[in-house]
Amino acid sequence: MLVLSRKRDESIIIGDDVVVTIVDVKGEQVKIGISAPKTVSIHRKEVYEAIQQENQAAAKTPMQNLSGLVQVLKTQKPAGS
Amino acid sequence: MNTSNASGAMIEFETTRFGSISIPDSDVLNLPEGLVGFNLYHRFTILKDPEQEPFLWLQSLDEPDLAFVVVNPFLFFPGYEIKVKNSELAGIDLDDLAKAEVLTIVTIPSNPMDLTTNLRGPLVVNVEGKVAKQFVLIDDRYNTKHFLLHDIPPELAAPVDNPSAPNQDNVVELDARSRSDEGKQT
Repeated sequence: MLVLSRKRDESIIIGDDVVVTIVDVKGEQVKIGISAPKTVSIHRKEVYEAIQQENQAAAKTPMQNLSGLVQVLKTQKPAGS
Repeated sequence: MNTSNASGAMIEFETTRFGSISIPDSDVLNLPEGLVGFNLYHRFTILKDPEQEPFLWLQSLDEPDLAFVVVNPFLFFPGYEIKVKNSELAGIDLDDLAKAEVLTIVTIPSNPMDLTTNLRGPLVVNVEGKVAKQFVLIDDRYNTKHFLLHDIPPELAAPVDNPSAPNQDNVVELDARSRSDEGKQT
């Protein structure tokens, strides 16, 4: 991994059009500004990974689980209704 | 299965769960970026079985085994709110979220009553344009596992005025494209 030292208001540029700026540093927290083309999606990594994991779990749903659920629902009303 | 309003040619696809399905061209749903973690698969279709509603299947047309149970989240969480930027909606040729259909992905564990849906990563569908995208929300009220059949937390049960709306600081931290109004950009 490339490691660079930057001060507040200093930036790095990635490729031609992604600019990462250190906006503020307070104690353990760093505020980062990112300027990138609209086509580049930017996420907090932990949130992105949580969604990735959940998609993977959901992709494994076999037909039987849903059929089983539908059977159960026929005999009782969901809590949200 | 959903083979309604057949406009245009019918295309046949193999699926693991439903066998061979035949759908009209117009039922192909494009996900240019794929789903998070599944970015190689771009073509899907939504399959409806009246027996299984309100649950639907989002079936990949590129990978027979790839299918997700999806649901209209507002049926369960009337207070659910999605906030995305117009610039992000442009990616699916929409200018207004109100014109979109929102679906969330459902995970059904071995005890089906513990099923959850992912409110943090909703699928926003441009129904007319047949294009969709999974958004990653910047909204800490929502996570990837909300129980559908347990008690609905009050803040999700009805529309809220705004007390716990997404923190603007989060938006600023994450996305400099929204910071132009602060005058610090570029």
